[in-house]
Amino acid sequence: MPRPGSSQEDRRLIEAFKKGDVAAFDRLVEKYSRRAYQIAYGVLGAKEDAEEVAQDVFVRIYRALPRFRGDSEFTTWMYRIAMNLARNKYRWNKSRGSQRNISIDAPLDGSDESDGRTMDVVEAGLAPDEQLQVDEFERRAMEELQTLPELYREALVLRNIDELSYEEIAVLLGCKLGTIKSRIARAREELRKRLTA
Amino acid sequence: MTETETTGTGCPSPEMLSEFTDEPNQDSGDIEGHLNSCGSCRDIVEVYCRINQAARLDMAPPQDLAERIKQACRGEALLPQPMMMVWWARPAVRAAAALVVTGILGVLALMAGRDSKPTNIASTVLGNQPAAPVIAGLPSAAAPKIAQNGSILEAEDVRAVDTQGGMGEPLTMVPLRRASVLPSYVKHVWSVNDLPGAQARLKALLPEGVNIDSQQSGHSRASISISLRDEQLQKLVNRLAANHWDLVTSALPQPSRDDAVRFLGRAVRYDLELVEK
Repeated sequence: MPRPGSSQEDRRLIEAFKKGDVAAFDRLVEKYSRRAYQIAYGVLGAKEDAEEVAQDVFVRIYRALPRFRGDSEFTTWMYRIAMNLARNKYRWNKSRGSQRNISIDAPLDGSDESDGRTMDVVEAGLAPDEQLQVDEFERRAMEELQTLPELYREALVLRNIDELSYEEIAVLLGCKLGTIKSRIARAREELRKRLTA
Repeated sequence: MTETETTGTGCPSPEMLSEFTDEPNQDSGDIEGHLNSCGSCRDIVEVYCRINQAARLDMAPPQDLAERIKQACRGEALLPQPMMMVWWARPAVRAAAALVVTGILGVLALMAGRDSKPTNIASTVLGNQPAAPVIAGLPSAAAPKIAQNGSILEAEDVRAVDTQGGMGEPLTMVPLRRASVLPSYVKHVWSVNDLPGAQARLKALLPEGVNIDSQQSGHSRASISISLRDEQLQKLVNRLAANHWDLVTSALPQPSRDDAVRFLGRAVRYDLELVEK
């Protein structure tokens, strides 16, 4: 979560927005649109969907911010909105049988946490010129990342968002600290095995 | 190592190595010391780091994401002028408005009490006046509105008020004017003074990187097809109108109506039909 100085700035921006300063809201977008996108992309694995969700996140915030009481940090609130919208979008895509999704069965073996849900493989979505610039290992890592079960993919993706600690991820996902550490570790280990096999 | 969790070989567990990858500064020195002598664990940590790098690279958002989000949010606001939000948002204004309304009602109640005929107070207050439209998007703490049938309306409940409603009639709710997403295909008919000149001018007005896909010309008409993103299309429409082209078609996007469109960066095929005046 943000450093103390950043929280104070967020409160100042929110108060300014409540008084009608639209530029204050723009500043919040500039600060956090990247993270909203990253959260959404981590859940959805598709750039276009992530952009749409990121936009929806801030549209909702725009409507609701005048009533935001500040009981929690703005970032906590924003992250939760992003997670919920991304998960809703994910389930919506799944129920609609998105053309980009191919269903495969591959839960992590022996995992008590895995619910054995069918996973969806989504395309990496890289443009040809981008692919040329990306190391082969990283390209495979991106592809495999999207095949991880939702529980593990979310935890690992959130860990790689700037400045998000284990504790913050635990709060965001509503899990214990040990659970988050375990999920991240298992996600990495599973990816390592696949990538080095 | 005495306190670290180890595998059967004496190496740290994957969880310990994963945590070390994220927070090496939290290590007491045990794991770092082990890595200095264990190539296998070093390789594992290196792969974890590369996975992190791949995940970060994969998650980089588009450069113009923030701009597009700002525009989408502005499109959601039905009052683009910040000052109007300021006016409604001030607590003193809300309190004053509530006081005025209460005072008026109180006075009329006294007056009505002297009159033998029952009076619809609310309709007396509001019946001859068009109800002010209340537009969603304002902070919910705005002064409460009173409908023509006397009920108190919460600011959030009211989308728009039908100013034509008669006394005692139920309030008519009309849909919010919301920003729309452009379809994947848009066709516009433009009326121009000089058809050949307009065709030549169009190429100069196209956004950078956008080319004409196909073009057909006739005696007094021309059809042109281009592919571009939704936001680019809106800007192009604005530029064409600024060049005194008259848009005949009413479909979105319309000139200077950026607030009516929700831009998602989607591709749109745009067919223009130019008609000479």
